[in-house]
Amino acid sequence: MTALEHPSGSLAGLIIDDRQAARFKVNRHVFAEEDILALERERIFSRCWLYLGHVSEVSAAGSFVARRVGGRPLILTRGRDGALNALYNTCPHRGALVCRERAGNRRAFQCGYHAWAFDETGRFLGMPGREALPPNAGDGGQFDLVRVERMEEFRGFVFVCFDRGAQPLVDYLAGAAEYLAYVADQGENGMEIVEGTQDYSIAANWKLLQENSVDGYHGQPTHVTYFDYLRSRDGTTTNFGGSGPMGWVKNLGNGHAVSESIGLLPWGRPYARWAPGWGEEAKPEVEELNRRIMARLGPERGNVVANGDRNLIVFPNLVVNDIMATTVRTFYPVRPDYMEVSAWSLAPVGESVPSRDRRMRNFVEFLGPAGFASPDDIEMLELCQRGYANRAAAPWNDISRGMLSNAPKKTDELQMRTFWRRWRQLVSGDSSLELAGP
Amino acid sequence: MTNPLARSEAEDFLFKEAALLDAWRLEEWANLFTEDGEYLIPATDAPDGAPGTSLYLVYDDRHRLGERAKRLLKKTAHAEQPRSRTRHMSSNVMVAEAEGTVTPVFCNFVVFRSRMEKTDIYPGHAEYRLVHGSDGLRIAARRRFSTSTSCVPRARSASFSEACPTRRVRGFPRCPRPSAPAAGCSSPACRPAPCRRPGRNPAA
Repeated sequence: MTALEHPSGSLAGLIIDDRQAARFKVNRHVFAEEDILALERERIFSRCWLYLGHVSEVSAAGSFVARRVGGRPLILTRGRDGALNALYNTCPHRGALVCRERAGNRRAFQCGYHAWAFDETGRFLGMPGREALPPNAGDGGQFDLVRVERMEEFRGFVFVCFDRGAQPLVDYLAGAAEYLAYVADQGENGMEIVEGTQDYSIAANWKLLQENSVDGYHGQPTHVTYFDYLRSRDGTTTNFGGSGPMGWVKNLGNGHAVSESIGLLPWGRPYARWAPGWGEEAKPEVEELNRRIMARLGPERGNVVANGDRNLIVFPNLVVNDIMATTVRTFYPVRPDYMEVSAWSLAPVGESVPSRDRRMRNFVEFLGPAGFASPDDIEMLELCQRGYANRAAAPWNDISRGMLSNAPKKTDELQMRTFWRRWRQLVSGDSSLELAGP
Repeated sequence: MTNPLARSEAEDFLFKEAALLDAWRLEEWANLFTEDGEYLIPATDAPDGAPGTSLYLVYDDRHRLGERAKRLLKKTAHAEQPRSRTRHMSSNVMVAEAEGTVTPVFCNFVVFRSRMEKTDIYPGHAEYRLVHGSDGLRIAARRRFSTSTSCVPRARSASFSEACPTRRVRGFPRCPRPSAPAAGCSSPACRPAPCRRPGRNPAA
């Protein structure tokens, strides 16, 4: 069944946004059907700004990372002139990947097939037997690697967009820019991606992970064993993690949203909220880091940066969870029911050895395929996906929590509605559909 | 001091460990570790990175690995409800020269895991640092490496034993080369050990 044959009758009808009745529903068709994924590839992944990497991953001249973004193999390089280059990883001759490594440093990329070579900016350097082609055959850059249509950076986060006419990145980011800036402000010498990627896959639709990344309502039921662990480690019987009214959520515009609180959560932040499990010996350093942030940024902004926890979603598929560690996570659909995830740890440049160690321990205690929490998230997403086999009889997801509230909480669902309203606007092509709303 | 460990003894120990995991006797498994034992799985793209300076999949001290065992035995550990059926296979076992009381042991492994109508296969290799305790061998460090060059399939499987590879396995287990000690890392797993694979380390 295609979306237009669906009983809802239209793409926009796949989402019910009934503000009078405080009812918000998403049709399960959107998680399961190939026609929807084809539309997402055309109208979302080919038009939105997508996260490519962090400047710290290509800090030295000649350094590069190669990764797939929106299904396209790309290379991000740092030129000897200091500028960043986003290139399509495909030889202009016959199309083979010219870079087979995930990361490294080199002065040239050479295609293994016929040995065409390119410099780190993508400029053609040479080929064997050049004389067999007319002298002007390479004019106009025809022998160069193709540059990605748009690439822009915001506070170290590098994005690409395959739509030449897209709005500037900072406009696209809207209110999310402020939150990326809070994350970037942690390091007095900037931020860096730590070596090592958590690459994993989930047998579920990609949109379920974007929802889950800002869903505060599932914390207690899904992650009870994580909170048990914190209690055991910290030697306390405090009942953290109740689904009480912790924190708030905000629509940041353009489908971006944040779930946020200041100083309320039970885990430690390496920068800079001490937790008992780190031991008394860690306390002076963590408190000193906190003081330095306050001194550098002032008490108001310093408090947000150091003591705040934020789960940020940037439409369509970037998550920056700045919690017990800071993770940068992106993911792409391979099929409607299968996604591949890459997650990195973002940390202040120049962090001390003990502080970095606390961060790396903290990261994996919750996050990732062998953490004490992410595996249970993954399980829930996969169970949802299995349940959608019943979508003909049971067609709707309910995302209505907090629609009557003037002050939506983390345990409400405004953050997901924000995502879905933007999704509906782009997939249906109806720009008159409202992005704001309860 | 050398404390020679026969390969057959090391194999018996690895087989016993595998049997405990496959039988879901996870607390007994955790008790195989010494008081300061560690369990580590590096990222697939940074197998030589040190745990305090590189992002890992598992970075457990003794307390955390004990809690990992307890967690997975709970009904509320959703990722393992219902529980997986697993078979841990250990092979190609090599015993290196003892370093004081610690004997490095290397092996290859394959884990088969079946749950909810799907079966995943995780190949890899492992480095153990074993010590003789009063009640037999104990694990001072257990570091498992995925053979995968990329993606961990249906990743929650990593939650109790072996994170890892994929349907697109292309690599082969490398010579079990210990990482260089990281600055400031006191982990027993960060101490280098000579490789005993024939021809790789002629000086050893």
